[in-house]
Amino acid sequence: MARRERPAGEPAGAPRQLTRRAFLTRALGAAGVTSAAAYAAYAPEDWPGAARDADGLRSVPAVKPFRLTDFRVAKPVGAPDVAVGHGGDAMTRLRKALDALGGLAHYVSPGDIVLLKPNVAFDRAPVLAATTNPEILAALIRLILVDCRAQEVRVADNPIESPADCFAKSGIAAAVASAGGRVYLPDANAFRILNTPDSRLIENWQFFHRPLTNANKVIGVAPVKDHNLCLASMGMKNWYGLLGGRRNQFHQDIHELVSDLSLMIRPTLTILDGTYVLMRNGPTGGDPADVRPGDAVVAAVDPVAADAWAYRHLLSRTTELPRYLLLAEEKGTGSASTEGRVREIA
Amino acid sequence: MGKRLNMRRFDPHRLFNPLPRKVLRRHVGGGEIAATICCGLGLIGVCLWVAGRGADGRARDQFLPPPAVAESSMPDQLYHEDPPPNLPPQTGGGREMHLPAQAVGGREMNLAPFPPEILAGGWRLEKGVETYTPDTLFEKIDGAAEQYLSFGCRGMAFAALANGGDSLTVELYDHATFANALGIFAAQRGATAPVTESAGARYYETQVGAIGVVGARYVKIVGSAPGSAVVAKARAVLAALAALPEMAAAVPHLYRLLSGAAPGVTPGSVTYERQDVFQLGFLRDFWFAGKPAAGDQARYFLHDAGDSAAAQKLLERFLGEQEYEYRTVAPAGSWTVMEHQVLHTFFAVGSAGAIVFGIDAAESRQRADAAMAELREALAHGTA
Repeated sequence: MARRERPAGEPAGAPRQLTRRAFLTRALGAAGVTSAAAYAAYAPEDWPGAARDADGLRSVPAVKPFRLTDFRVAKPVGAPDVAVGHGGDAMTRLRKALDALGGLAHYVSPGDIVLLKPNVAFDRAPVLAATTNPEILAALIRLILVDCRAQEVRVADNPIESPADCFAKSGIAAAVASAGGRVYLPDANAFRILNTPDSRLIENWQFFHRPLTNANKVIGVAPVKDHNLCLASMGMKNWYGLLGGRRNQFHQDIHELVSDLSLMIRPTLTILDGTYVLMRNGPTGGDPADVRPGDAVVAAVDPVAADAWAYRHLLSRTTELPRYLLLAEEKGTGSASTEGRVREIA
Repeated sequence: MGKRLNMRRFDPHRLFNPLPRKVLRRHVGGGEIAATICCGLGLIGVCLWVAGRGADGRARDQFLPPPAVAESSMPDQLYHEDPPPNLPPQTGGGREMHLPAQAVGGREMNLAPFPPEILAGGWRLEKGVETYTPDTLFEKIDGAAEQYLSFGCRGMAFAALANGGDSLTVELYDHATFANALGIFAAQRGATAPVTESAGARYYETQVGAIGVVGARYVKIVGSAPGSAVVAKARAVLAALAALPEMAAAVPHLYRLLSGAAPGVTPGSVTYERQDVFQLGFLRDFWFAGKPAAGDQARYFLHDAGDSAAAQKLLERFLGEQEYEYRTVAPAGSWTVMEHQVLHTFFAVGSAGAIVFGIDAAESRQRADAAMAELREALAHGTA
């Protein structure tokens, strides 16, 4: 900074005399800085630039949301988007569907950590078809561990009821343990804020994050069942089980939410368990008379198409497709049209 | 200029810093003064801010108002804790419940609103009785709660019972009125499930339990696996619930009228629709009955409009809406008969005093006329 010249005649080394102009300038500057600091300290919280933090919430560290990676794997050339296996036991139906889709080994590589997301929403017995059938889940875990040589298979869901009870009574805890998988139960520290760009309702929302740590493949394994609010609960609705917080408020606009779920997670595969189909009184059920054997397992790389096919053929609904499928189509997460995209293996 | 001044003190023998120390300077620049003032003011500002924030460790400064806590908290409702032991007995409709000695883990549990008889036969509670309000019902039946709430559900109690390898859950929904309970019962019951009436309970059995109505309560008993022991226990639980005085609820007169309206109409076939009847928003509180066992799709219906003027007004509006799908074939006399333009089934509706009565989906004109005559006669007897 250039130093101001001494006035003529002033001896070198003599103390400087402060001029009135300089004094006023500095005094005004000091007053300005003081005023700014006082404003910041005392202004109400909602005023711009205010630093007041009466309830301490402003000083809470902001948690940076995370984003999920895209878990999809390109299907082999010539494979359909949706494959359906019929006949035989659970393992047979599952193999038929997966083989038609190019084989499970195409989608899961050796060393992968795979998260399976069944629907374990209620503490209901498997015979009531309100939850994923444990036989299908066990068969899939064995295929992933043995055929695909995956490093680990995790199984997770966040039922709003007691998770331990739901996993036990649905038979899924025992099935997972016997097949070599590992159940992740939710707790308050297992959630982080997930950022889902372009979603309307869950752009930043609590998400059951822990089982996804280092996981590089994600497969949804959902039952096909009637739903009181959104007509049907299938593959896309299944991801609701990974949300935390007061998620029930989304029931006000459930179709928008379910379509947002298709944006939230792009799974490697969607598997629909049509072993038993809850035809009415879903999602909880309670009467085996409401359940119909479906004799089908659906495997798909397009969750929207899988749901559309199951709605027509497993739930046998001839009415219009649920609105969430059309919304998901608009959001670009799949196509509800199944024409020429489904291969059924008897 | 600074360099020129410093040259006089330049010492070439100093190894690291040949320049003189700044403290020896006789001049401090304006920029440095300004920066010092700014730093000082900044420190003062920070002190003021800290003082204003009140972070001095006193309790009042650590207090967060409850709304702020609720706003910033993530609800932790993942698990339902058992209620603390030795709770004083709650009262259920004026009747004090007795605590059974048998309990979970040696602790006494409050069974209310269930009677102690639900533990008869060696059954035990797996965990404490859970209760839910309309605001928390979704915590138990997320996604299904709305249907119960649409039938006026004002609370639910849940008990999980076990006996050896058998287990079952009892869901007791309080719907405030018999009509509401019957409404949700009819909405969830399969058309072919035969209804049993026994000692104040109307229910049907499933492979894993029983589902029914006891007074104003809708009861859902679901076992873990099919079995006769579970179904027998479900029946016993329903009987125990039906024996409770507080479970008694007034049976609406339209239900009684409709139950005996025509030969073959059984109480089990009587249902109640609370809103959006015939998918028309202005039609509420209708009672229906049919004879599904005979393969007849026709349904009788009754509605109490309150007074004859209201009944007449409702009837006119109802007929006006029906004209979009039906053509009138007999507008004369006490009732109007209409034929569906596509299905060619017959619909008839009329009024008697405050009661709107009719039949829907009759297979012929004669069937519709006969049903209307039966209903009118039943109403005449019922109101006499």
